[in-house]
Amino acid sequence: MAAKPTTFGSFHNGIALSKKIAGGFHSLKSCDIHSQAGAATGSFAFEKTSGTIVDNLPDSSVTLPSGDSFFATSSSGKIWKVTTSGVTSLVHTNTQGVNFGLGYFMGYLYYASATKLGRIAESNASSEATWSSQTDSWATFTNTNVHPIKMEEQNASLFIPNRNYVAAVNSAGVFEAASLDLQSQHSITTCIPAGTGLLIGTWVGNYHNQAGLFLWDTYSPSYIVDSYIDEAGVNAFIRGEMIFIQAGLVGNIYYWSGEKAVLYKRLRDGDTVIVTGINPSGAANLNGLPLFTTRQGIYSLGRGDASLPVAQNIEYVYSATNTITPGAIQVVGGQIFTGWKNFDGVTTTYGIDKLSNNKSYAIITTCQAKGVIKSVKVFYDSIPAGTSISARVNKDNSGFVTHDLVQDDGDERCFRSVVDVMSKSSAQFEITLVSSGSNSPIIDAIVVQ
Amino acid sequence: MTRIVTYNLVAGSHVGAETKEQKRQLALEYIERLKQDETIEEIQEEPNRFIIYLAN
Repeated sequence: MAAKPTTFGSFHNGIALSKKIAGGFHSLKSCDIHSQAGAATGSFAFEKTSGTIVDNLPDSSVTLPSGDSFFATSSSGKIWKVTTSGVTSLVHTNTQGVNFGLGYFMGYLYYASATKLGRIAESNASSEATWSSQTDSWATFTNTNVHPIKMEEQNASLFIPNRNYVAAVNSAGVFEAASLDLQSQHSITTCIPAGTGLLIGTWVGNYHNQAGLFLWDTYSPSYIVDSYIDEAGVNAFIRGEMIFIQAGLVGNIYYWSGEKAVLYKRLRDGDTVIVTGINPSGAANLNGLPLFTTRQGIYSLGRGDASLPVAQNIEYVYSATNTITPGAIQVVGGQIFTGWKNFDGVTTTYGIDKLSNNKSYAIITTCQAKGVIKSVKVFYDSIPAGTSISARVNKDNSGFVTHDLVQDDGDERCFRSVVDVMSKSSAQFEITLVSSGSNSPIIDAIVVQ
Repeated sequence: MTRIVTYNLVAGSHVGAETKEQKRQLALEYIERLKQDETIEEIQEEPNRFIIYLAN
């Protein structure tokens, strides 16, 4: 018996819990689902902007008020400058070794090595093609940093994670080596302003699933609230309409209730488990849309309006497409810069991407439609010159194969199956919006019947 | 210009962290480490913190 038509059209719902759950999609890649609620089109494509200058994973970053961004790596002492147009240059190699974090506070760019805090005046950081006025050992940490960290400003101080201590630079330029101490098993990865306080996230270890969250007013001798998540660690805080917490190894997202972390979502990409780890600078916010870097690409976790659900979506994919290690991300106006490492099976390459003027190929995988499926129709709102729509089908869970579509530009304005699918029990469709330059198809609905 | 470093001797965390005396010992160890890289001009010990003045 032929199945009733199933319409996949609420693109603003984003990626669903699984292919079994209606209302969303099994996977969305390079897909803009927020610009026009109910429609989908290709996102802008990333292009590598760093040439061959970047030779390790840029995993920390900061943007100065001038618009110049700086990226650093925990694999060497190198610090790169990226201008607003994406021109990338090596400006400094830290004589104190690898860099674990960058921050900006009251006219200075700060950079943390394992044992020292360096700094350079903001104007010199931008103007000196090769830094000469920096001080790599401006201050000495109590503990030895061992992983990337995120610095944050709150209450007129810059707070700097230093294993189980929080160090700080106050508004008088005084370095506070031990502003706060936590129990010694904690290693602080990141912090974020939370109300008038500072929320601190820690890593404990892959085999000791007690990641800590500590809320501190930044003045008192100790924290106000402590809470634990049964995860290896807090990888990043993500700024959004609430504070999202990316924790653990499998892509879990929590939110901060004010006193504890509450499980919110798990990042999904079809049946692929999303591998996550410490990446405190891998989060940003573009025009109210929270973004987070992963191996799959840049996830968005937001909505275009309060009347819509918070959706997860792989908003952008990197210019490199093999095995990616995600790095830091910076939003500069409407531009995004993000660092990555790519292994193609033979060679490892590194880079910093920026958004180009071209659209990506958007790939949309529907959830599973049950029954005897005959055909698919992809209804479009716009199909600019040079663009098209293609499909693959996964019939009865036998794997995706090419499924030819033909454009019916008559009354229906759709692309439809050339030959019947004739599944026995189920079918899933992978629809590709084939872009051309700065244009991409805009679709309204995918109807399976 | 002199650089200033402070080291808090607060009792620390609610549970399991160092006592004030332990923190004082850690602060003294930190100061010894500073001496290896820096010229210390003056150290002031207050009830709840050390203030360390470093030559530039």
